[in-house]
Amino acid sequence: MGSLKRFTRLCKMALVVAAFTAAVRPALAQYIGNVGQASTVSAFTISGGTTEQLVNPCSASITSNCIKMIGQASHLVQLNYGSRAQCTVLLEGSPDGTNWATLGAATWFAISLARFSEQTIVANGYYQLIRLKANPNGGDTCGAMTGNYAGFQTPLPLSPIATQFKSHTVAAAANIAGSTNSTPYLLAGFSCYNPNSSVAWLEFFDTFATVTLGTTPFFYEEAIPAMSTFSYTGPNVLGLSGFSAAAVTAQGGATPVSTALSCNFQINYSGPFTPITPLIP
Amino acid sequence: MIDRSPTLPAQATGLQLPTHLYPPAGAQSKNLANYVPVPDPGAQAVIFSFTVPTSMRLVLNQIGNNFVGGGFDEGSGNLIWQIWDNGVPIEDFENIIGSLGNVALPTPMAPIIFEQGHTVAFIIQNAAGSPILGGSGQVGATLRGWYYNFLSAGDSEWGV
Repeated sequence: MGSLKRFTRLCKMALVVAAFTAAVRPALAQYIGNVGQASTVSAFTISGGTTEQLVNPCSASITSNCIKMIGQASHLVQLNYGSRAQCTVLLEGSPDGTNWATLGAATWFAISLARFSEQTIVANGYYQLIRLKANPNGGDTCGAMTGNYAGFQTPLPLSPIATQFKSHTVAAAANIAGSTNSTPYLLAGFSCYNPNSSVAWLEFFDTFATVTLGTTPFFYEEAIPAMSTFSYTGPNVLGLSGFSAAAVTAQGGATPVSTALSCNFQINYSGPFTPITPLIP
Repeated sequence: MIDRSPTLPAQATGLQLPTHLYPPAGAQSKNLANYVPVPDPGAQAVIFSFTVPTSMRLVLNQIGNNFVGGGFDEGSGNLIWQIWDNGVPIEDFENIIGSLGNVALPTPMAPIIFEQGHTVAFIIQNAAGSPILGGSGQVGATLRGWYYNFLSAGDSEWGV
């Protein structure tokens, strides 16, 4: 009987000891630091006007209205534009602080009054420095805008966005996009009908400046038979300056066709523009 | 009978632990930490600095320094951290070419001591010719420890 009581007492003591041991047992999880994906957000304002404006990377001397670098490999810019004036904003990346690549863009056209006031630029790729450039040639009178930049360490999924169709008649050189400023674009496709009774030579130019037929270098030329339609459906063609088209009566000629071609262009003004190599006219 | 009068050096009681290893009664924690944009190649920047108040002694026993950005190889020498005492790099910390710990998770180290009136500073140098462009990343550093009134704690005026 006595041994049973001793055994019971021992069991109770063992339970108490076990309970205390469990209570003081240290946590085994180990804190290994911050391992979540780092991101950075920078708010900025662009005052607008007739001159080029930059939102530069943050530095020792630039501590506000700038883009903070943490080694991000993807970029998302949200722009809020209250004006209806034409304006272009470029997202640029540089590996050396001297040479800047256009990664993406937002363009508001004066004629597109119904377009959204808010635009988003998305691009991937690691660059040591990232900046925004508004009104890149100073050819526009941009309105003021606010925005946010967000950078992430991993790439963002990208899909063709902001592609729009522009119907245009083409005879003498006509500016399709970017008449006053460098306007980057991706020409995704086009379709042109030649109503003339003779062959028309369709030419494309990557410039926002005035085109002189027979002199200004074109990056594309295609013969369209009489009373025929010609269509192109990619791959995308990247231009960085502006898009002009013309239809002439001879290869490399300077004389516009008598009756304008009826064309439809599919153009992406937002990008992303990398890793596509810019065309060299 | 233990006299706990603040005028009596605590170590005279025989109960005082070494103040450079254990914070004495009345010690205040000191957690210095900051990030700055990486300076241009060939330039340097102060990540943070702190001047030890009069009658105080600063003990630092945790360190962390890191680069948040791309293109930096640990140990390459492109980025050099330094700890300064009154504008002069101190021994063993004049050429830190890699991360000795994270700002969020500093590394314990043998304590270093700064006397009253001395300014401790964590410096980052971007070496001349470095491929890391100014502003292309954030440089961080932390030093943690405590400071205390060394006379009340029973320390000698100079050193521990």
